[in-house]
Amino acid sequence: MLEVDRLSFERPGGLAFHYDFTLAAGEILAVQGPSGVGKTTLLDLIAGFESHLTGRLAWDGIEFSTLPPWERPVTTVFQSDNLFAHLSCRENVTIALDGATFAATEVDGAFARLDIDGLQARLPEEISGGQQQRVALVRALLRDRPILLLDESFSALDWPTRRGCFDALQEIATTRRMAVIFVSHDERDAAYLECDVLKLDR
Amino acid sequence: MAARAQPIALWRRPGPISPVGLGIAIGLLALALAAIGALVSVAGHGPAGGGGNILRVAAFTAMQASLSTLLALALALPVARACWRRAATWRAGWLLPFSFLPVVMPTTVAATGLIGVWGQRGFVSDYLALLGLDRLPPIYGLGAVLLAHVFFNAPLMLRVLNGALTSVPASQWRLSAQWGLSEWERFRQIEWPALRPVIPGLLALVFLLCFTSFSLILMLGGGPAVTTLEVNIYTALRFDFDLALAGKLALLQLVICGAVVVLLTRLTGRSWAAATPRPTHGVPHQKGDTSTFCRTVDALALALFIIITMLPVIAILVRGLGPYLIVVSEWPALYRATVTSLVIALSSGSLATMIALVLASARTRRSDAGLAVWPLDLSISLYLAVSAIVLGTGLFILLRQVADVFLLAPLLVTVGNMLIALPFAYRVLEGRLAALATAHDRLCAGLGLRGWRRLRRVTLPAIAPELGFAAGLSSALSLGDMTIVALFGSQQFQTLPWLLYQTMARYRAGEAAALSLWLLTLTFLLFMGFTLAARMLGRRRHA
Repeated sequence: MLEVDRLSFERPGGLAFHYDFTLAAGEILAVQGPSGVGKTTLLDLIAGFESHLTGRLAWDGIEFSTLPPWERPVTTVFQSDNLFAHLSCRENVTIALDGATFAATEVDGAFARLDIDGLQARLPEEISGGQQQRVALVRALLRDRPILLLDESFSALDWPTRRGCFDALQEIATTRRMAVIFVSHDERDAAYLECDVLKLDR
Repeated sequence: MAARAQPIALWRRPGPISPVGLGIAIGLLALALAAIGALVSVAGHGPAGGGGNILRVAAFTAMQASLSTLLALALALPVARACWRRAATWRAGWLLPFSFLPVVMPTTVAATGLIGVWGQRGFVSDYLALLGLDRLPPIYGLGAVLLAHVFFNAPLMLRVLNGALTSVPASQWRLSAQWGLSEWERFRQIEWPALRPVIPGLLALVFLLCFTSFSLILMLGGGPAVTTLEVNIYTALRFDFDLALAGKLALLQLVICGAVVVLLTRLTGRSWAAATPRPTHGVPHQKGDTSTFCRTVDALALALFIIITMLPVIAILVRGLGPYLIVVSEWPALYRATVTSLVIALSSGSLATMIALVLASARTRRSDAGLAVWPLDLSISLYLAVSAIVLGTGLFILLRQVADVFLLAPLLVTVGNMLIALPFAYRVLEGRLAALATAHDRLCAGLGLRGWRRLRRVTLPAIAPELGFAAGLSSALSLGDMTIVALFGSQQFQTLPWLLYQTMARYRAGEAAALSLWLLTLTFLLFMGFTLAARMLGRRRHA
């Protein structure tokens, strides 16, 4: 279970943010709210890109607040630019697997599962935006960290493509027992996923 | 509430590259200060006086540099507009890749090319004679120097100005077409606001390059009336062996160039060499673009540009290919000089690129972490202000007491050329590394790609084209150098440009033309070799 325990953060200039909630493994949480309310800040705090002032972050009772981003049990899929332009899609996935050896069939299986089999040898510029985001999801899937953060990762996709990504996401969350937090502007997303919603306001 | 000082986020702390970069920067600063200190120590000695003459030379140097800069801009501005507007219809865009050639062309080669076109025995005179007219007067003098400076700097300006024009959003061009703006109004309202920010920095940079001009003045100046501080430093050191005068002149040169560099940095921030033109997209046709007047102006500008910048290149090719190629191929000196030049160019080019890479990486990491970067910036700017002759003179005086400088010549020429190329290599890499950091930092931190692994897998492949460009540029600059070698060269130690200069000085025009072609070919191959090799290494192998 992810514990976000009385977490507070302050921007230079004094704008303050507070977060307090828990999320069980296998659950999906949609974060909604107007611009500037701290949706991305929440993901940055959990991922370790920003440092909180007070409070703690823990997974299954083990605190990870003080760890650098690469040691946290977290994978982030950003809104765009998740892939290195000079690496093929396959290399973009395997580069993050940190010594763990995966059989080629396992990587190919993950590509097939997200319906992008056959793109492994392509460069990011040669595939569509939706396909690029799915390559990033393949990487998140194989990296196998229990917390998955999605920062408007599918916002730029058309609705049928987005639905396809959500189906894959739901399956991953359930089978891999991942806690998924996703920031979204579109209320249809949470309705489609039938998940809990965290509404942030000023 | 007051903004509190944010501690450096753990994941942004720079690794060992930061102290290594700082160490190199401090070493570079110390070397520059030692060279300047050596100049100060000798400038105080020796007889006072000669001040009037020094000031007269400084004034003339500034005058020719200002004139050269303004003339180059006067040519480059209409050509940039013409290139941009006629990219599709006249295919004028192909001037842009070609315009890089003068930037890497050795000055000695350019001088033979210019003489081959405009000299008394050049192309133009030959045609005039065929028509029964008088030949052109001898080329040497202020006019030739200005022509040479325009030849070198108008293409540089063209690239920057064209880059500024391509940054205007297409919607603005379309709107101006809808509103039916006149030619003048469009220039004032749409083109000028895009050009204005780059022009002051460009003027300062080109002024600096013309102010420190050395070999062109030596070869085309034609006598003591047309001279620069650099040439005076050289004659004081090599012919009169008047160290005090050389020191005084070098310090004056340093003060003036330092002021220009400060001005340059103020005007442009760190972006003085950000001259990478973006791909040209189609520009919608404007009202007025297709008028006869407008087309005539563009055609004249392009024609003048081609005459000034391309005819000399053609002259080198045409005059170089001939029986004299066989004559010079029998000179043992040619082979010795070629090997010497290539070894020096490859060593100083790769050294400059490696040091620039370390400094630029350290700057990017420290800047991300909010740490001071001024020592790194200062170490680079200082070598922009210290011209080749000033640096060489300083090193000469510094080392004269402890060693035989002519024995150390190969080392000094390599190091000197490396230091002169360093600011250019640094600028190429620094901008790209900063952009890569913005794009990759979070992604890499989140995926645990750090240190050596990130450098090898992510950063190096991504900056391979810039690395190749920096290495090609600095090797080509070093291969063509005639400034530092003029201070340390001797019968035993000759480079190709030095051999070419001596051949020209003996009025052996045919041999000089053949040597020019040889040197130009080597420069081109070296530059293209590095650029293409880096692209191949950086390119992904597709399955």
